Amino acid sequence: MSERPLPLKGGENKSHRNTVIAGVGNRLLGDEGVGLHVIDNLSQIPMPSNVDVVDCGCDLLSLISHLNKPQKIIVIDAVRAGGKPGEIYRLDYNELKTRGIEMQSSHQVRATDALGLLKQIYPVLADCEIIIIGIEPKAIELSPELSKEITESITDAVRLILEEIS
Amino acid sequence: MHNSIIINHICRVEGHGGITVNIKDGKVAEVNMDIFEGPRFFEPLVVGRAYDEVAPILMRICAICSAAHTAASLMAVENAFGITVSSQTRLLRELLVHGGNIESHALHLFCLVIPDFLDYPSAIALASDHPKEVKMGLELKKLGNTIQEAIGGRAIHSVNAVIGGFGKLPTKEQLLELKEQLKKGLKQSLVTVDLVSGLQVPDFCTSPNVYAALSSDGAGYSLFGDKIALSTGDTWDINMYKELCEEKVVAHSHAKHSRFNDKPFAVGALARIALNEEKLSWEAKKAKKRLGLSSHLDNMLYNNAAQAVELVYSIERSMEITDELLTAGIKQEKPMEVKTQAGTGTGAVEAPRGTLYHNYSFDEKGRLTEADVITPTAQNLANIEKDLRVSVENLIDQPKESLAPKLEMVVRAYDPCISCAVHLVEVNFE
Repeated sequence: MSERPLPLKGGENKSHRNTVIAGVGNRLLGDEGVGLHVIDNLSQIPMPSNVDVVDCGCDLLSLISHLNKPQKIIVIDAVRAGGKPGEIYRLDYNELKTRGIEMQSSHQVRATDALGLLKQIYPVLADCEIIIIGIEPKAIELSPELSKEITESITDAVRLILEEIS
Repeated sequence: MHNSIIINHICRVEGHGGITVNIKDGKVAEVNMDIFEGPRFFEPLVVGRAYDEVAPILMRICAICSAAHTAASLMAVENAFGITVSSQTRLLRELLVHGGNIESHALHLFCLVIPDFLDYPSAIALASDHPKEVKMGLELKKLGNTIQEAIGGRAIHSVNAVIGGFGKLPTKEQLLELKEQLKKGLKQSLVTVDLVSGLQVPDFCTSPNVYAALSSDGAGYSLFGDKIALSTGDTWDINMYKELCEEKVVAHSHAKHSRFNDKPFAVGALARIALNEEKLSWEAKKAKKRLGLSSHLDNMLYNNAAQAVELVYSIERSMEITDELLTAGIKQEKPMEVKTQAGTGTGAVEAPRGTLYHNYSFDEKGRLTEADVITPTAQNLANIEKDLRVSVENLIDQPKESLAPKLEMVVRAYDPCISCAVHLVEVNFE
């Protein structure tokens, strides 16, 4: 769990768009759980009423319980893209599709499949903007702790997400 | 003739997982199934922790089986300290576990199994042709999440279920709302049985199976029980689970393999139905007959059909429990008091994939000194290898391109906690 103090304050959701911020990962697999640690930090920040912050564990399909006409979904997950540990990526879902990037999962249905399935089944998501905030992991192994570099990246990830909703 | 078939999966847990089949002189020489899971992985996470820290950590082993891990973990702690919970707590805990069963079976059937059997590469591809059916599957999964949210306080990783009871109890309004959703869910589960009855199930992995499942003293089919029953007729107290599992470290796997009398055995929905079919609820019993399960107990590919039957059962049983709670009224009782003592306890639950055991030892201050978690997937590994061997022997003349997907189908029928990984295979033939 990140112990870093957060100097950030939640802003207004100026765009007035219904937004779901979903963390995904497994807390017992070291850096694989970084998305959930980011959610822990976001949960301590007052959010506008039209923003849901959701801990999905390693089951992104559990988003179906939170699809109240969202206009934007922000998924936070560990993403291996060859960068330095802790490097943060902002990826558009459509970009993932066109470039054939897969978000592998440690459990059940992988994140890209889950998002694709939800988009296909629920018309309410047809025009929904889907952004993935990916954090390059260092160690994915059995541990409840994050690597030092990943812990240090959490504040920047939170800042980036707050910019996304403001 | 093939010499070797290697199916490596791409998993985020590096270096774990995959199927290797070696063939010598036209015969199967070796079949290895390697996965990430096993007791030695989980113990370091909790040794030295206080008794009340254990369940919140170990319930996170799996998001889909979170309710079963929670219940097994809490019961192991309670048994170690000699705590007996109220009948209301037992009912609420059972409801929570049924929520997990509904969620897991719906997800497995609609996102992995039905696409497999109808030759679609994914649930997304299936959804493009059959959006109504896939949406119904996701609504059933959502129903499972809703039950867990109402009872456990969260859709996954319950916060309300605690040692000795529940920190927060559901309201009458929540139970009434749940009842309405369960009625709709029951209809959807019967449509699911119709869909599954239309799937053509191949017989290439048919071979005799020894089954194991928990057995309750009550009249009903249950996901709980103090005894372990085997299809051989043997019965044990759950505290003797190690005698059944006889875990052995095998060179090719990161998990230990469970064998009974040096032979593999299977746990899961098909095992439960094989052992307790007479105790099934009304609609579930009709579904079992419709799917012809009793005639196919030697074919693990029917585990998928057994999950469809259990989807019906878990919804029917959830309706019964909800009615019972509404009739009696929710008592505002507090969790039982915990008095720590040195001791050992076992908790066992039928998780979606089969029997799950948690066993802990504590010192007199309630610090955990030893932990053993045996997952259903770990118990099934040796049986999966047996079925893979039979399948390769039956299909050895087929081209590799068609053989590999069939082997994956066998593994997936067990609904292992690596089903994602097996869906992510890279096939490299050598």
